[in-house]
Amino acid sequence: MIELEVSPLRAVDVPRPEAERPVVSTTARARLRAMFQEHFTFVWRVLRRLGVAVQAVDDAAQQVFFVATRRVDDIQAGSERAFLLSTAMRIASEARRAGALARELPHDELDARAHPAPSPEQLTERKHALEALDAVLDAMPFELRTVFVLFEIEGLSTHEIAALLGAPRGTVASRLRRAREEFEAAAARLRARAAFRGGAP
Amino acid sequence: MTEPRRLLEGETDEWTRGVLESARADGPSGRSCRKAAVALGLGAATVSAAGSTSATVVGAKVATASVGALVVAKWVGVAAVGIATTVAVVQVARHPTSERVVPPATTGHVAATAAAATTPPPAAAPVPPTAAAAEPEPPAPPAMTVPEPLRAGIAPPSRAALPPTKGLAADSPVSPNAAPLRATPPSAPPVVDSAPAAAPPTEVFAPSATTPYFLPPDNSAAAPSTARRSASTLFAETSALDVARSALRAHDPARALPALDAYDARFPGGALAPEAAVLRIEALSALGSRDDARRLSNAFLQAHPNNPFADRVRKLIPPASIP
Repeated sequence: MIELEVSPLRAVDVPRPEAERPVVSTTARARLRAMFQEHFTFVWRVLRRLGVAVQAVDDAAQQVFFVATRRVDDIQAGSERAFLLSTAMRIASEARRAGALARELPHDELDARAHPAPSPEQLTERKHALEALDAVLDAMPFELRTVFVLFEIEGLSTHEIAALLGAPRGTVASRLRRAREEFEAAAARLRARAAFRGGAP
Repeated sequence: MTEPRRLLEGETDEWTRGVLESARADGPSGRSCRKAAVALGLGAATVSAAGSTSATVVGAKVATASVGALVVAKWVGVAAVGIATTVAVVQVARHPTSERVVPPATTGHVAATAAAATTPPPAAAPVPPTAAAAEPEPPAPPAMTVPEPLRAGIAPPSRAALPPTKGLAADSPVSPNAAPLRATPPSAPPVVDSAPAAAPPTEVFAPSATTPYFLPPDNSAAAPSTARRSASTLFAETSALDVARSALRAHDPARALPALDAYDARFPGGALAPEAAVLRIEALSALGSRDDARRLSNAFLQAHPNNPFADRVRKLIPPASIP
């Protein structure tokens, strides 16, 4: 099992916790702790929905906060979440290039990932829902996926997203529109296939 | 420019609603959070209030560490008075055994890898090697399947048996006694009979107990036993149910159900399972699913006739109406 230790993402540049953790002041540490408590789950979830594989997401989330630790003095008060989010997007995109992410799946594979007819009572329902969602998201171009995740799942405003991406709000709005179209199309495909195979989606 | 309406706020088909709500409820396991906190050096500092040498200091530390930790403080406090050793050892067992599944990636099992993929935190580093020698037991199985042995020393051997993986070797130049993450010196734990083994890991654990209020439940801690159930797991359970509770309070029973499913999936046989069942009955009842609610309430009353919630259930679904 040891040889599996190094995940692709880790190979990119996950900082070594002991070796590279910068010395930060007590104030900075308190601030980092607050950031961590407030945003770790958020960062983790965004990374996950942006396609970081489940086995790499813990490392990736840590990495985001390592970056924050190194740059804590540069982060303006009030823009902590924006900093973390843009770092997360960069790391997700790097990891994607490094191949640690789910690839964009052909439709057949997307179909294969659809679980047929989990009963509503099943405890695994949520897991299946997430797998289906990720299959749909994987089929989207990254920039559409980002906007979709931030708006529909994380509940950011288009204004916030525009600021984060450094793009005009109109661009964000049109990406969101396209993302929704892609989402619906992929979802319909997924469901149609699931139905064809005799189960509800 | 008007803000578009979110899919979840408008008229959305059930499937889309389901997947998006699942995504909103998704999150790292409690263990992932703890590991990250420790790896980032953010966890240990929260125990800086300590210094006492009694085993009960665990309870005290947790109690003062965070407002959010009140529930944990209660539990840990109780444990400290009564079964301090047990708690300590359980914690020892939790962490090092979880270390054994650290090699991430390529195993496909979602639940297992979700917790396993973290960077090995230095949390377990302070486990003294002496403990390892105490018990020549073979390595414990991965955390998810760890049985219930509460004997002192189960965990240290498992850790000792863990070959120095790259991560551990490179990331933790921590000598077993150095424990640089601990803000306090290792408290001498004469009260605990398994003293050297149990006390330092307990300290390391303590910070994590202060974080779960913002943490989702611990996927990987799904072992249904009661004895291994640590304060942090209870906290995670509480926070998991909070989602359902707040949904019910907000008259949004449909949102409570996925949260309860998530709870059931993560904590089969959890300490708060009865409350989860009651919440589900309430949600179903509020949704008008009388039959389901009735069926569950029958099952609940049969299983827990004397549960404090039983009256609430009877009031909600009068047994007389049972077909």
